[in-house]
Amino acid sequence: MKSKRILAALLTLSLSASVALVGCGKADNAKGGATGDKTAAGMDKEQYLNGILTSEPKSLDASKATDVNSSDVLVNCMEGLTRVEQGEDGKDVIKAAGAEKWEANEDKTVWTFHLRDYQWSDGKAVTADDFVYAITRSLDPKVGSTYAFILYPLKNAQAFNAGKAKVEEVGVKAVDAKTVQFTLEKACPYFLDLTYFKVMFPQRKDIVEAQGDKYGTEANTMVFCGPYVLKNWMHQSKMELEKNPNYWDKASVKLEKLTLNIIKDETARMNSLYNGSIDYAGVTKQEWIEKLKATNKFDVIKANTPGANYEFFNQKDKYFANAKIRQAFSLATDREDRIKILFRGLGQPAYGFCPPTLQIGGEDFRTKVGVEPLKAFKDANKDAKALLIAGLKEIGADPDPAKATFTYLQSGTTAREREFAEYDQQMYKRNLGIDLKMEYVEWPVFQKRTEEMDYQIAGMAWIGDYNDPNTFFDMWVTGAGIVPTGWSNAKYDSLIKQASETTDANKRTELFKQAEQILVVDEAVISPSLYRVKNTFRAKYAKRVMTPLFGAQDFKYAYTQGR
Amino acid sequence: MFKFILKRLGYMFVTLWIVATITFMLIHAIPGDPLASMARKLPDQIRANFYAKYGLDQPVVVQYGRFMKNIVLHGDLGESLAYQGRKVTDVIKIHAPISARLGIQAVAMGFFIGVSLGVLAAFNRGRWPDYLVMFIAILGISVPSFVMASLLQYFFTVKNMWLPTTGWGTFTHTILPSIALSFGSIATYARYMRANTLDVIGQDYILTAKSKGITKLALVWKHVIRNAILPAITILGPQLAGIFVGSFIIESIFSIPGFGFNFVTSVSDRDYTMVMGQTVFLCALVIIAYVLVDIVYGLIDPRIRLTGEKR
Repeated sequence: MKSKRILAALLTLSLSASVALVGCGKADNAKGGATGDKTAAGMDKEQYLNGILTSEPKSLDASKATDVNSSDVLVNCMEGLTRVEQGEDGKDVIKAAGAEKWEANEDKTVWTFHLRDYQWSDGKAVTADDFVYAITRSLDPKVGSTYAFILYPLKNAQAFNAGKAKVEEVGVKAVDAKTVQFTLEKACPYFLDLTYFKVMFPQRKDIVEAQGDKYGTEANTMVFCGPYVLKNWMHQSKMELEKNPNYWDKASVKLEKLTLNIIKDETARMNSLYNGSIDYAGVTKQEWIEKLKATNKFDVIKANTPGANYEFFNQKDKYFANAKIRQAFSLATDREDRIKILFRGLGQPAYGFCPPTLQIGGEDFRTKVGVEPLKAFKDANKDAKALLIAGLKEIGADPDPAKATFTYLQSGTTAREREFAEYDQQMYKRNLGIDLKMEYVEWPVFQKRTEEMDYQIAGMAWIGDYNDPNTFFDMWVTGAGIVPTGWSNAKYDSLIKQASETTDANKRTELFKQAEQILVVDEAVISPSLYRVKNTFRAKYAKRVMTPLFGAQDFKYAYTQGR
Repeated sequence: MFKFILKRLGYMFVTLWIVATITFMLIHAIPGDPLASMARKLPDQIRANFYAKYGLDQPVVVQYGRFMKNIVLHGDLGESLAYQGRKVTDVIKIHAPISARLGIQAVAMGFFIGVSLGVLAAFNRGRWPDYLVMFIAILGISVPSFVMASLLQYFFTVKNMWLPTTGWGTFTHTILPSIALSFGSIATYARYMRANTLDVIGQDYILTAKSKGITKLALVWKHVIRNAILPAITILGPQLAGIFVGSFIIESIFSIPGFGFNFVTSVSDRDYTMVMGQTVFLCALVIIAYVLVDIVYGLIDPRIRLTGEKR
């Protein structure tokens, strides 16, 4: 039939036109490499790993990099004074890296680091000046580094950052080409834990100045001194790293090629993990956990991360100015059940604020303290509703909980926030007899509202900055300005100050224990709900990938076996 | 013709200026600031340092003046606030071509396949090819592109590992996203072409041509398509402009480093300069696309006089 011929002609025309248009494209090489030999006894012949980043790193300039993904890349291509690794037992341990050895003076206010011989990828040696330059640059107010506060334990660091001191006055010096000396404001018990941070990585003054603002935005604007070098950066898509032939410890580095794919969408990540295009990923959704488990191809690594979720109260609000009311809300939280339902079991109930795995003097803080303050309190006060009524009477309000107005400010507008809201409304109604209202706002609005004290109760999470309980406790000191609760307590401030003035681990533990009691129970400034737990699925053939608590994913010793 | 283009370009600059100004006012009216995208509160000193660096502590009028001056004098759309050190123009240069390639593939597929299906349906009105095409059209319009994308991703990359799951770089990476993106287009063009072709087929001059003994193929090509395709060209214009933004979800699902994705995240990041720069860029594209459409109109249909004179 004639129309059939026309159809055939038209379709052929359109198909060939489409193909002609789409057919012209560049042919880059695809992901990964050829299939490696599988020598079951030893490592694979071809060593490569396909990792992920959850989004594009904001910058690889260590002074300006603010996000986790930039840390993930930097830690693998730079070498600071020390490196935090994960021991066989999973605990964080600080190892010598750029510095061979170090010592402190008697009152621990002066630390001297002796550098080993190691080089940048352009052949120049890494010198003490590189460290001094990097640290003073991160503190320079003109650079506007958002992580400068990590360096505040150094003498005059905070003053310099505020423009009130000169750069020469900052407590970091290059004694000679291979020796870096730090002078602290006062003895800092966790100073060593700051030395593996990215703001302490060395930087090359000549390169930073030559590149100007472009430094850290492309692979060819930087030189590297770590286990890998960044070869190729395809923005928003992937980053390709290769083994650094000039690395001082190159014998330990087994991978030839490390590809970090930037996959933002969770479903795409799961699909990629499932079909083997990436070798590991964090998994949170229950359906995927079961599906991936069923393939039997993955090791499941469940680990604490140094973070805690908590609710906080506006103490300028007429209701939440009263401690009993705050305590009542804290008691009314069904922590175990909440984790089971809202987090599918991926979390640990928090009856204190500082999560487990944070160390003090080399021991786990929570284990050392022994007790979680809320537990005893909960046992002694089984009736949250009675406590709430007592509080309402104290402020002279109607003692009927149902008549009080409580609004929870949610920090987002997605389905997840609504899920949380539903659960919480039911939970508080059941345990307190109140009708909790919900308000949903976007994150930037949430920040503004809480800053302006325009809320009653809201929830946030805190992730520690360094491996010491202080990072969970000094944020509540008067004037810290991190979480706007309107709370100020001289006793608490004094406890934290005392803890910062001694390096005795036992004394500090006792001080923090008392502080936590005030924070979580006596004053119920916050209602901690859970300690964060991470679920990582890793292909069975990917070995020795380190995820230290306070480091980023570290591939220095990684290798594959049995791919 | 020349006068026409000049006039339109003039209008374009005025429109761009208005759009830039309105966008500037809007983005500064939204609560929140670039530092808000960081999930932690920063010490005040550091915040102050950051603001001073980017001139965010200046009064709004001064910021506006700086912004306009940079565009007009240097063609510089500013530096990103979220990704420090990256110029907006550089970001556009890297990512826009990727979205463009994806978009052009999708629009081309949509146009050619859709037009063909539409003509096919019109010529077989009331018979099974017509119903099939209409079914495809309804599917394409009602199923959201991201559902299509997820299904394609699952079927072609997970269940059967024929194509790469995510990423960009080779031709194979472009197949699934293009198909997902083009579905809506195919549906739209098919419907438009079908309606217009039916209309044209019923005209007297078609009967005349047929009675003169011209072949079916020549009839379709010389008479039917040329007349029926005008509305399809109308929507082709804005589609070409929209290829950059409309693909945001597809780009997200397939991890394609495109422009749309950048655009949307910079709004939630409150990255002022990026949002401004990208909006101005997009606006310019849309206007140019419309101008091109008008020119093409005149070429296809001599009845439409660009300068509006009477024949």
